[in-house]
Amino acid sequence: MKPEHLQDALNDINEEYVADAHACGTASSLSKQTAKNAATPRAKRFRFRLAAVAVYTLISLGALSVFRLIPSGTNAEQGVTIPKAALPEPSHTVDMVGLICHNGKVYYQTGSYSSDHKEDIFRLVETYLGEAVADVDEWTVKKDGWITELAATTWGSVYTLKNYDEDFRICTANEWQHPEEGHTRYYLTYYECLNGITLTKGSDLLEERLHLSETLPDSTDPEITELVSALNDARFVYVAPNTTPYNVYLGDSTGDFRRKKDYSERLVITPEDQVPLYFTVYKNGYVCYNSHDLYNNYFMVVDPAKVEFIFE
Amino acid sequence: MEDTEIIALYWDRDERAISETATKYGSYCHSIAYRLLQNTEDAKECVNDTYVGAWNSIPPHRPELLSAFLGKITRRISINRLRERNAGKRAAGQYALTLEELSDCIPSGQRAEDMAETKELTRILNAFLATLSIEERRVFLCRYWYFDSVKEIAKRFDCGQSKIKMMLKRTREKLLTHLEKEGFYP
Repeated sequence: MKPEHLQDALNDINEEYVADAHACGTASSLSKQTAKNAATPRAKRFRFRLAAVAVYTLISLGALSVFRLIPSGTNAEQGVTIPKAALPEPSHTVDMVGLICHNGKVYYQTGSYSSDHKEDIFRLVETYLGEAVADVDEWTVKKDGWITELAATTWGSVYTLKNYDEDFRICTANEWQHPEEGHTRYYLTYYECLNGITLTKGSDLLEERLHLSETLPDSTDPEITELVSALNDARFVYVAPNTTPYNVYLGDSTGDFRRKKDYSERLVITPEDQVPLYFTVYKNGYVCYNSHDLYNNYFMVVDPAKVEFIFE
Repeated sequence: MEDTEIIALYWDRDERAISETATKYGSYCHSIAYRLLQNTEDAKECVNDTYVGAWNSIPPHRPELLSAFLGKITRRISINRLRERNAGKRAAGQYALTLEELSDCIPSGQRAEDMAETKELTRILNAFLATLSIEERRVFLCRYWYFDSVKEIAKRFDCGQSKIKMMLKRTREKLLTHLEKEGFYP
C-alpha cells in the first residue's frame, strides 16, 4: 500500500466529517478572508480567529479546557494575594489558554463582544498597542523568552480599553467575513490580569477594576444591584482546593460548579459595554468571579440572605 | 437557495442546478482544487468538471450534504489531474507533503498490499475517525482532506504549530496501530 491509497480512501469518508471540518474553519472555507488580509496593511488589519469565537462560546458555558493552573493564595488580614502568573513549563503537554503578555504581566482571555458594525467595536477601544501573532506555545515559550511584549497564544490587534485600567484589561480586535454569506462581523475579546495582586474587599475588583456600579444598566434587577453593593463590602477569601469546606460547599478543583447544582448558580451581569461578567454564587454566600479558572478559588463572602433570591 | 432545492433541480434535469451550485459552492470547490493544483486555470477546469460530475451522479444520488458531496468530487478530480500532471515527476506542494506524512502510517508487508482495496480502506478510515476526539478529527481532515498547511491549521485552531504537528503525529501513530489491528500488520 502507498500513501496515495490512503489519500484515495480518504476521499470517500463519511461526508459529515468532511462538512464538519469545513465548518470549523479550513483554509478553504476562509479563503475570501485570507485574500482580503493579504491586501490590507498589517498594522490596521484585524485578524480573524474562528477559534476565538469557539473559545468564547466555551467560556460562556464555563467549560474552557485549559492547562491546569493550580490556584493558590494567601489569606491575611489585608485580604488575599493572588500570585503572579507564570507561563507553563515547556514540558507541559497541555492545551493552552488564550493569553497575552503586556508590560511584564500575563493577561488571560475572558469575555467577548461582537457586532456587525465596526464602530461599535471602536467606540470601546483606546490605544493601539500592536499585533499579537500567537507566537507563544507550551514548547517555545522558554526558548523565545516569555516576557516578550505582546507574546501571545492568540491573534489580533491589541488595544487598551477606554474605560478600563491598562494594568487590568486589554483587548484584541478581530473580524470575520462569513465565507458564504459574505457579511463581516467584528469581535472584541477581553484579556484580564488579576494575578500578582492583593484583593481585600469586593470593591477592589468590582469597582476599582470593573467599575461595575457605573456601568450597570438602569434596567438591572434591584436585587442584583443590592447584591453588587453587598459584594463591594465583602471580604475576599481564598479557599484551597481539596479541603473540606471547598469540597462540601463550593465544588471541586475542576471549577465545574454545575456539579453542585443545589449549592450554586451562575450569575451573569451584563454591563453597558455588553461584555458579560460571570459569577458563581453559592448558597452559603460565597461568590466567585469566573473570568478564568485560575480565579475559581477566590471568593467574596456575603450574608447568605443576600443571595437567596438567586435560588428561588 | 437551499441545498434541497438545488438537488431538486438536478433531479428535474434543470440546468439552473449548475448555476446555483456555482453560486453557492463555486468558491469552496475552487479553493479545494487550487490548494492541490496551485494553478487557477487548472482549478477552474476541475471545478467545471465537478459540476459535470454532479450532473451525472444526481440522480441517482440524493446527497444529504451537498457541500461535502461536491467537495469529494472536486478533490478526486483535482488529485487525478495532479497525478497526470506530475506523471514521472516528484509531486510538490501540500499534497506531496501530506503523502510524505501519511507514509508514517503505512504498514509494510504482503498482507497490506492484499487489503489495499479503496472501499475497504475507506470503511476502516471511517471507523478510525470515529475513535478520534472532535478536535483530532478536524485537524486530521484539515490536513489530509483539505490539504491545509500546519500553519493555517494552527491559526484556525488558535494554537501553536508545534501542537498541531504533535497532534498530527500522534494521530498518524494511532492510524498505524489501527491499520495493523485491521490486518495491515508489518
